[in-house]
Amino acid sequence: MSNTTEQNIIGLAWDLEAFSAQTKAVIEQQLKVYDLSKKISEQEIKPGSMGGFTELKQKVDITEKLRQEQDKLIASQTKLIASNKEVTASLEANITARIKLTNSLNRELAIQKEDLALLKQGIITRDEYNKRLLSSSVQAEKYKSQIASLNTEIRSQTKSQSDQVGAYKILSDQYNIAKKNAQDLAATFGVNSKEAKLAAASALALNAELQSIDKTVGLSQRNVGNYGSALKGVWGWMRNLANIIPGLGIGGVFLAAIYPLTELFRWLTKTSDATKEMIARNKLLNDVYAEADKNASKELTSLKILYEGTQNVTLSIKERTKAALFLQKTYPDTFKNFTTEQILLGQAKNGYDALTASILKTALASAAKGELDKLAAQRLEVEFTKQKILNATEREAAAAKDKQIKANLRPGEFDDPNKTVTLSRAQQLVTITNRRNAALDEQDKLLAKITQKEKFIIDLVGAKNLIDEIIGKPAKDKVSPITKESTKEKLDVEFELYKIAQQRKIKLLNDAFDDEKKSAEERLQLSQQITDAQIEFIDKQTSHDIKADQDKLKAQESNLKKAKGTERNNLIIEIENTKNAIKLAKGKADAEVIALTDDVKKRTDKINADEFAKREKMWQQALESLKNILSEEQAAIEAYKDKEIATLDQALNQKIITDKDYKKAKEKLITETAILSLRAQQKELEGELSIAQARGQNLSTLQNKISAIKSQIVSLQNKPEEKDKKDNKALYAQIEQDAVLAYDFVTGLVRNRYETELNYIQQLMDANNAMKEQEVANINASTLSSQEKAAELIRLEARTTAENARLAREQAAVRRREAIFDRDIAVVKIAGETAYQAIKAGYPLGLAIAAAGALQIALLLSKPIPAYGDGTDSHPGGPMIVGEKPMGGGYEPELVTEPGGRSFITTKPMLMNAVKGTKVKPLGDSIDNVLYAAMIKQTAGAINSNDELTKELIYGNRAILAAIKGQKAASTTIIIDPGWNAHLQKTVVN
Amino acid sequence: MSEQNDQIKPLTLADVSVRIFMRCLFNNDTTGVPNWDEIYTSYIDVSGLSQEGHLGVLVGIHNTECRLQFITSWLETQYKIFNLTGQIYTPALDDIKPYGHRITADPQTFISQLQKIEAKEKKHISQLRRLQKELSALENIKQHNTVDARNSFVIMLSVLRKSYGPIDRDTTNMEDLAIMIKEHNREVQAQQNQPGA
Repeated sequence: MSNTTEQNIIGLAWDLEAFSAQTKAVIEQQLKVYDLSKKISEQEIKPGSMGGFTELKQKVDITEKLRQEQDKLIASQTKLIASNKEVTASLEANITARIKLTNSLNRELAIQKEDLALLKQGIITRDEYNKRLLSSSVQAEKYKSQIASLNTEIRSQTKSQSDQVGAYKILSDQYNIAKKNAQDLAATFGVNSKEAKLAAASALALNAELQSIDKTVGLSQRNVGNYGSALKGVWGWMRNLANIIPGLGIGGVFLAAIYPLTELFRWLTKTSDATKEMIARNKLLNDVYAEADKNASKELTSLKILYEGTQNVTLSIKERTKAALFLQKTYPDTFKNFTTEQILLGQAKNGYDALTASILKTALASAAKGELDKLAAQRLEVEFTKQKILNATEREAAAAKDKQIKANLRPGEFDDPNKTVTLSRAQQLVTITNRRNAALDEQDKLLAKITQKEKFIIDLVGAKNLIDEIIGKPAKDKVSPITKESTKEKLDVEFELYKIAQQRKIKLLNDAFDDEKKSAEERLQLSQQITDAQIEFIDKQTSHDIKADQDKLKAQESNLKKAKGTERNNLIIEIENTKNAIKLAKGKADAEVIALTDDVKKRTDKINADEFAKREKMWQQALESLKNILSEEQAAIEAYKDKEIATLDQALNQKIITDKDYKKAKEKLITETAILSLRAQQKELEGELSIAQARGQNLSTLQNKISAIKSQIVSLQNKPEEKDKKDNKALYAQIEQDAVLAYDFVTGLVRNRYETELNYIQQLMDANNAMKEQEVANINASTLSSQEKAAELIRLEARTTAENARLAREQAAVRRREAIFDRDIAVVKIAGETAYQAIKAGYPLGLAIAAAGALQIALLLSKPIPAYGDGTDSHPGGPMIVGEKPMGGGYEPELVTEPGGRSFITTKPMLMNAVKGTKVKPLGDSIDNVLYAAMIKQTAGAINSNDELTKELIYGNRAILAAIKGQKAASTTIIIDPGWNAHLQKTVVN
Repeated sequence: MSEQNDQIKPLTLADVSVRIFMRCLFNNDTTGVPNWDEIYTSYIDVSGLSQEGHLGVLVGIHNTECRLQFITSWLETQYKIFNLTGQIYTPALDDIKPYGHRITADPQTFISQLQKIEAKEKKHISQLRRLQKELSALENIKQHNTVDARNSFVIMLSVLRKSYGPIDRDTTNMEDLAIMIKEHNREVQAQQNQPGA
């Protein structure tokens, strides 16, 4: 990549040969697909073409064939991608093999060194040394040859891989940009300018990084970018594209065959999403690199100047030595194994290169850590949100119970617009669960994104470098996280990563716990989470330490078997120490857990104290609020009272009401307002009582106050009632007396009249019969012939019979009138008596009076009123009598149904005004007690005031009296039915 | 059957008799006529029976599809190459110009330029849908049941016989018939256009 031209850097030159074989193959395939598309575009029919349907058909056929070819190409491209994956697998295998070979080679070289030392010490002879050297050299050369072969292959594979994906390409691009930048600056400010040197140092550092990667095949083999999935999307889209436009026919076939091309653009959009994701990731990458660059540039510049100083032969040896010594002092890990001379001779070049790369890595790790910290904070925030969602939905679920909700029916669907339906708890729980799951899914997606970013950063920088950065070890000389990681190191790395993550988590949880804005519940949960996280951390730390010690112990015990003398004694002591260390580690963990318990207690106490303070504040606010409400209510009551009194005063002044009424009304008003005021006080005290109960305070004082107020209210309420009752008693007596007199007088008159009429008619009939007998005697005694006598007798008989028949009809008419009167007066009795009894009992039967009205009853007396003792299917409208048919000791109940649907049941005779079409059905013994009870309750509920009904009854009685006086006959009796009152009392009151 | 006859050869309109044509058209039996679609389209074209609107809509659909197919492929090629190599496939940049899109080889803005092209092309999808609806409406108008269509065809034959003499179903080829139809229609049209007609 270092040979990339400037043209390529800015992406203007197109050279397919510049790419690796694999990339080239994929692009070539794509270009073939593209060429076919160009051919398809040529199949467009130009405007004004005379080809008609025939030409269209030909073009469509060609297009179809081209598309089929495209399908084949796309299939082949998919296979190519699969084969690229195989190459990747092969690359990984090669790298592993090379690491093994390098280790073997190093081992051989170390053996050679050891042999040389042995030769120098005289332990082995020169011949022996030569023999060993020859053997190990042969072996080393063999390894070298294999490594060289692998290197070639790996470089080829790496290049192709890194061209497509990965950090290598990105780093390479960065390098190219930096290089160009340096060249520009050099041209502008001069080769030796500070700006150019800095830019060059930056580019150099990137170059060193690339070289380092080239040597070790480090980052390039990792799938750091998510190009894999992005490309998968693209190729998936391609496969779909292949199915998009199948063959076209003519006419209807043509229409049916057209595939909605919106699908095509949906795929395009999907691809661009992947691209957007790639761009966002590159931005993250650039941020990290920019930060790293900022961190490392100073150090890299110093290093470069120093090292180049050692190599600059134009400087004096003294100056160069000074620079070399400074390098050794500043970077002992890198340069301590080199003598000053070696450095001056350029033999430390590799060390210098590695150091440069290492500095950049450290800077990168530092920058990456910053990004990781940000991501961890985001993660915790998401975790909190999840917890909040869980808490909220749990609370909601716990509080859920069956409830009535408005049905929200369509207009006209039901008569009742306020119809409600029951929403069961189970239904609510399902809704809550679905809502919770949806909310949690969203949060999980966020978490997945965060995890992806974290992985991306960790992969980019190298976990080991990141750990070195965090735990403070110098990252220098750590060239690649992959090449030197043994299993143990890998385990250590994993543990260190866990350690960092867990410590960060605990810190953030502590921060969240200290946030007083959070609720006590949330803080308690956080406290629990902190404890759990700490215990988990201690457990893992302990098990990790113990495992390390156990491994050490195992090694020591193994060595003990071979050791002798002092070494053995030392090992025994070391083994003892290791065992003690294991015990200590366990004990330490226990002690830490115990200490944690204290922490938990402290945290809980803190939360409780905070919560208590909060509640105290809340209670005080609640008490204040109660008092405010009370004072507002009192003010409103006073205002109401003043206003009403003013109205009464005005009425009195204008003589609308009498003095007596004024006093009565005023007294009533004062009592009412006093009751209202007391009730407000009671409410306020009850509020205080519930607060005191919550606070655990003594309740007796408040309870006494409430009792006192209640008794005051009761006394105020009872006082006027007793008075009313007394007043009513006198009134009822008066009504009763009036009614009895009225009925006695009127019915006596009417009934006497009917009796006289009937007697008179009977006398006429008797006289007629007597006259007939006299006439018969006269005829028989006459001188007429027998034939004439017979004729006379027949005429007489006919006349008498006709006269008697007329009289009988008159008699029947009188009896009918009498019957009508009897019926009507019975109605009056029924209506008046039932209403009267109801008032007397304190529960007036308003419906009877309200339906017919006393005045109407009086007016109706002169008309025939239908009575439906046997029921009817259609009442003609107007007054009717129901429930009058005797049954057993009482009356047969009847179901009265109005056309509007309103129904009720009678158990006593009733006069009522009913609309046309009303149905009456005798129920016999099969009365539905439930309906009956419901009707009674409804009746009682409909009546508002005793006074109104009393007035109505008095007025009604007078009207009845006036009407009945118009009748001509005789007497009647009044039957008081106390059973009705008792019945109402039993059914409604009790 | 000899080897030469094993493969059925494509026919032209002149190779098909009136009887065979009627069998294919009304009985859906295209035995021996492998390229029936072509024959039918030729018949429609030669006889001048095609409605200009119908053909126009079909051509519109075809052209819009070709355009969308090309632009989609172009975009995909550019996306893929840019994603793979970080470079722009410059040789194809000018190919998009005839379609009214302008694009510059600027790597920084390249992806956003591609996205803009995507967005602009959406109106052509709408256009395609509109044409499809239009075609559907035309097809609905043209729906005849087979009996009516056959009767119309036979009536047409008898009308033509009055003008052009006997038309034998077995010996008359469809090309001749199509030309007769076209000529007859032209004459009728000319009579209708005469002043006072």
